[in-house]
Amino acid sequence: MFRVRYMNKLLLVLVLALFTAGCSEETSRVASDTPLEPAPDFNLTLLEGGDFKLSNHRGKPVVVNFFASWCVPCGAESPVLDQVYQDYKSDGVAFVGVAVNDTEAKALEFIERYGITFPAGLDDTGEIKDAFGVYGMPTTYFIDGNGMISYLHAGGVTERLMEHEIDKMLDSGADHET
Amino acid sequence: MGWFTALWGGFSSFFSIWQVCILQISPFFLAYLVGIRLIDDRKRGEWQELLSCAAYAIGFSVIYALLSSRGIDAGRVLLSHINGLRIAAGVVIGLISLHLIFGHSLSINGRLLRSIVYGGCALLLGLSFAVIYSPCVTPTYAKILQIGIDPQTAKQGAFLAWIYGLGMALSFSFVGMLLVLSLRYLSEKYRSVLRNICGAFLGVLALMNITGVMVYYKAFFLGFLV
Repeated sequence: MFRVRYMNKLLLVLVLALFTAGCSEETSRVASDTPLEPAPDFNLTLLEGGDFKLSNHRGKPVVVNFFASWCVPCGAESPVLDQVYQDYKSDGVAFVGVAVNDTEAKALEFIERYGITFPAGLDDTGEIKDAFGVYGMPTTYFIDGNGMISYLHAGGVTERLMEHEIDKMLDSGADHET
Repeated sequence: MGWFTALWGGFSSFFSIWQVCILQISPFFLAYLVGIRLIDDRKRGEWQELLSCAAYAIGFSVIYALLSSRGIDAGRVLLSHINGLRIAAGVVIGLISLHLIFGHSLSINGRLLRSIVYGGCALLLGLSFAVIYSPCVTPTYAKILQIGIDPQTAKQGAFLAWIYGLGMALSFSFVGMLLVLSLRYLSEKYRSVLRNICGAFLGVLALMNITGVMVYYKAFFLGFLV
C-alpha cells in the first residue's frame, strides 16, 4: 500500500516536471561580452519580391531573425518580433526574416499565419545560415549601423530583450553622430 | 546552470512539445536499434543494444556540444562546413542502412568483434545524427547556447551542451530499449520483414540528406505537426 502511494507520488512529480519542461517561457538574458565582429554581408531574395542586401542598410540597426516554419519556438516569438518591428520601424530599424531548412510555400504560410509584416526570404542554399554560423532555431542577430554584430540571441526573444538591444544600438549610433 | 538541469532539459525534451523538432532523428534512431536487434536473432541478452545506445550517446553528444559552442574554434569550423558534413553523414547512414538489410548474411563471430562492429556503427550514427539535426532552441538549450557564444565561457557551454546531448540520447535509449524488449513478443515470421523496413527507413533518411530533400521532410512532416 505504501509502495503504491509512493509510486503514484513519484509518477505525479515526473509528469509535472515533464509538463513544465515543455511549457516554460523562460528565456536567456545572458548578456554577451564577446567583442563585436562584422556581420557577413548577404543578399536575400524576399518572398514578397525584391531583395534585401545587408550592406545597403549601413548606418541603421538591422535585426536578422533566422526561423523555420516547423520550429516550435519560432511561431511563439513571431508576435513579439512583429510588435517590436512596428514600434521601431519609424526609427529606421530594419528587420528581416531568414527562413532556413524550409520551403517557399511553407515559409509563406508561416508568415501569413503569424501576421508577420517585416520582409522575409528563403535561404534555400543555407549559405546565409552557414555564414552566420546558425545551428539552432530561432536565432536573432542584432547588427549595428557599422555592420557589426552587437548581440546574438539563440532561442525565442522577449519584448524586453529586443527593446534593450535595439535601444543599445540606437544609443551607440547617436553617440557616434555627436 | 548546473549539469543536472542540462541533463534533465535534454532528457525531458523527448517527452514534451519539443519532440516535434526531435522527430528529425528520433524515429530513425529507434528504427536503428530495432534493426540491430533483429539482425542477429540468436537468443541472447540485450547487451548489444545497450552498447549501441552508449556509443550513440557519445557520438551524438560530442558533435552536438561542438556545434553548440561558437566560442570554440572546432565548433566554428564544423558549423562552417555543415552542408558538406550533412552529405557525408547521409553516406554513413546509407551504409548503416545496408548493414541492417544485409548484415544478417555476414556472420560476425565473437563477442569482441561484434561489440566493435555494432559499437562503431552506433558511434558513427550518433556523429551523423548530430550533424543532420537542426535543433529547435528550448529555454534550457537557449541558456547553454548563450554560455557557449562567449569565448570566455565557451568551454562551460560546451560541457553543458554535451550533458544536454547526453540527456537527449538517454531518452532515445530509454524508449528504444523498451521497444527492443517488446520485440520478444514479435512472431518469428515478421522479424526479417521488420528488420528490412528499419533498414529501408534509415536508407530514406540517408537519401534525404544526400539529395537535400530533408528540407521537405522538415517543412511538410514536422510542419504538419506544429
